[in-house]
Amino acid sequence: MDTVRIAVVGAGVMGLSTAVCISKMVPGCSITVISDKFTPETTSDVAAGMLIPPTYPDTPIQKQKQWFKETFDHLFAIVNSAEAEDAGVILVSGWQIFQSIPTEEVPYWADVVLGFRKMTKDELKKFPQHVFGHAFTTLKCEGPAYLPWLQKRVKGNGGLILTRRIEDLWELHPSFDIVVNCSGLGSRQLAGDSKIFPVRGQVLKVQAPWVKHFIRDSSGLTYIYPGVSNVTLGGTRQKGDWNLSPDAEISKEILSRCCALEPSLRGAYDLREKVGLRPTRPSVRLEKELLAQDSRRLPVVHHYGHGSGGIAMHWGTALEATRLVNECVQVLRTPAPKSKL
Amino acid sequence: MRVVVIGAGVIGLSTALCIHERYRSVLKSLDVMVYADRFTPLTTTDVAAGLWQPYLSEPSNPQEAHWNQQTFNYLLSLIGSPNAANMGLAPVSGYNLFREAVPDPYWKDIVLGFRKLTLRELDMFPDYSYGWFNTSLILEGRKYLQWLTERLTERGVKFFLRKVESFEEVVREGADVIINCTGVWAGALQPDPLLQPGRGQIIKVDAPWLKHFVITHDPERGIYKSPYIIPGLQAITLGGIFQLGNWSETSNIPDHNTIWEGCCRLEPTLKDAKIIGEWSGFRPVRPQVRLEREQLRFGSSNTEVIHNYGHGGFGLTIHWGCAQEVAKLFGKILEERNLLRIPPSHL
Repeated sequence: MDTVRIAVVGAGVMGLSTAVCISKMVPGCSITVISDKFTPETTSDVAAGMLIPPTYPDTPIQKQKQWFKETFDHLFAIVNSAEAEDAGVILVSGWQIFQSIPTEEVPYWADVVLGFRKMTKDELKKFPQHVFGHAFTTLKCEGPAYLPWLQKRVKGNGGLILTRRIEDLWELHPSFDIVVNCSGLGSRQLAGDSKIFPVRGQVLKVQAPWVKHFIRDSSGLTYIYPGVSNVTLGGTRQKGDWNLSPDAEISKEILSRCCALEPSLRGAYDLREKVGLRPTRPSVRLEKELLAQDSRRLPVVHHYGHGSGGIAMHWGTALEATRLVNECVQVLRTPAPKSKL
Repeated sequence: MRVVVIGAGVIGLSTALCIHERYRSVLKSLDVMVYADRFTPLTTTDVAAGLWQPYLSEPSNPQEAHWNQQTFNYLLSLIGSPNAANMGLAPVSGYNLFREAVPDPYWKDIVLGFRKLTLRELDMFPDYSYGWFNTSLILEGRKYLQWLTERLTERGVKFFLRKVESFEEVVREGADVIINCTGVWAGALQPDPLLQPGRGQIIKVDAPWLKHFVITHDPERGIYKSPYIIPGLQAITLGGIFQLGNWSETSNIPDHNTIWEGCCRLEPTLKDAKIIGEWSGFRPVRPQVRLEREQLRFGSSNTEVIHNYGHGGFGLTIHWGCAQEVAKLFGKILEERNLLRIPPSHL
């Protein structure tokens, strides 16, 4: 059986996790991850990595819940192992707070996270502008540790990692049999996808080690996420903004909003500004496409467009992308019908 | 009015502050002095992990439950002030783990969000089959003592490094009221067979990825004899030693191993934690806190002593309620001696 040569384009959380899944679940293939950017310079490195999923308007809730649950279970197994620190996965408890009572008081993911319940009146006293809230324990998965951990796994399973900027997916033909496109916003060009656009997020990563809980305003605009070695303060959701340079005015404003929720943050020190562009789409693009040009054929599995839910959904969607890759491999391995003379 | 507070742990300093806050403005003169042979970072308070959590069983003196609650409510009211972290104060959530079902503790409605653990949460702790989750507070001893010292210094309270050998020596120097906050060493000033050291040893590590406290319980062995992991504002405290009657202040290897093995079993990622240091201290164990007045006669003078010691492994947890109670008793003394200019406002 010939080795099927698979190229994964993109080395953010999608590219690397898909590469790991493929190496574990698809026999007889070689994997090469190709990207122009690697950790710590990917979008996944800026993300706080909180497992609090967004809602994709065009995807059935059951599917989203499945992806979130598969990701949560995968990371939960890591957090309970001795590898948790290497992989950058931690357990963190906290509160999501609402300024008005939501129509849906219990979100679809309530039984995926741990210990979900409504906040008590005493707990809400800490947030005088808010009238309702969720209290739960979830996971945080940090790019700067998780991506290198995934990279080690890719290489450990015999995969190659190459630095190269791909301008056109056809560059990968004929060296590769299947392309897995995890290029995030790069798909605007690589896949000609006009549906994907950036939602700019600016954050501050600060030192405030006394903050042990996450606090998230339900709007998703203001959040405090304590991590392994810093606290992420956010944020912004600027649609269509491609600017990767931090804006000092915005940083001041983020700090002020976060201090309103957690006044002790006025003592935060060593503030660092970061910007990431969430690769946003009405739904995650998870599908096969057979590229054709003259007599050339190139099977592509698209796996991108997770918006603000990249870390939260990555393993579930990587498993699905891997199933699609497997289908492509089956097709390649099925001998072409011989014409009967 | 000359008040001498003996002892500069959390009990001594918080009591001094409470008295000064309440009575400075209603007395013609109030001189508060703190005498101690140990100051932070060398007190018992400095060794404590600092988690607000009373013992599981109800105290024999129901006032203690009330003082615990007063302390929690007081500290909770300070959360939300920008100074909380400077005081050593922060909210913290976590797990209490058991090998079998136990009744809920009497303080379940004092802490926030108290609930039982779900099965999936218990999966994280294979040696345990039952437990609680709640949000409580950390009050880190060292930072809090530094903060109390600053507040007292601002108020003109003076500190003296000295080993007091007897109440009499303090009386002869002119003290009107003595506040006895000598903790586990109170027996040196006045024999107290009910007071014993409950020796503890702890390891402080750097493991900033741990955000929750995890306290295991083994009812057969007794409180704090089972591993616990308590995050502080920066470092994590690992413990699980409680030895009644042991006066050894040096840390030892067998106890280190007990703590280390127990905590690593509970939390395997600790293998990557950097050890910052190891300390021992003596919980001032007593069947009940001794919080009462006593009149001492030396020659012709009558001196009031207010005892405030014997807070076991819950000193930080109960300190403010006790300080308020001492302040109340002090107020009575002032009334009896007709010293008040105007009646103090009762908090």
